[in-house]
Amino acid sequence: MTTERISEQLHENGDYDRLASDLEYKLETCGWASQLRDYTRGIARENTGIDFKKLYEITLQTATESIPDSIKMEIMKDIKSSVLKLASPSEGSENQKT
Amino acid sequence: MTMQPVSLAAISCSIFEDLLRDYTHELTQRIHRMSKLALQKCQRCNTYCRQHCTKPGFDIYANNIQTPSSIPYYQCLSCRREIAASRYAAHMEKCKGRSLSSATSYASLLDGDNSNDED
Repeated sequence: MTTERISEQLHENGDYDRLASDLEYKLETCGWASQLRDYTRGIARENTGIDFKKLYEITLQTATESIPDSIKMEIMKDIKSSVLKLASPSEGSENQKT
Repeated sequence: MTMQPVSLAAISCSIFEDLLRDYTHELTQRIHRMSKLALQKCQRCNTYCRQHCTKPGFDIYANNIQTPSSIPYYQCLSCRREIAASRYAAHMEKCKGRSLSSATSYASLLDGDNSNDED
């Protein structure tokens, strides 16, 4: 099973949206999202008329480098369990029967 | 179907990157849009006040604020007094004991006024 196919299945069963909501909630709660917004606003103000693509590249790089490890680990754990659930759906159905 | 731990980690990393990219994209889009709008002249006050308007009579988003001098007044159909728009419904509830819910139509209110005038 390819990564694209797994990603597609996560979208289909709603797990992707759930993971996205969890990530957003955790980032907002710890204040990291607010800091990233302030940083991005600062960049946009200093470089008036900046191209969206350029602003996005800068923001994404900063976000990737600065995202808290604890949140990253929690979300990765969640992703792994969702992916394993896709890989072995028969186990899930057996658990439901019992 | 079994899955190798290394593959699972790589897949999870890839999906996490997608999640972070989507989140960052949405955030950047909102901020970029706001910064672009801030460069445009406000249509209300014709100044660059999109982010923070300081003109009197407007809030920080350049929306009109209703002040006591700017509230419109309407004549009461019952007692003919000039009543502020924000108080009109409350006044109608109390005016001569009549309420909007009890009046069958405005015509009945006007008929009532005519009879009062005759008295």
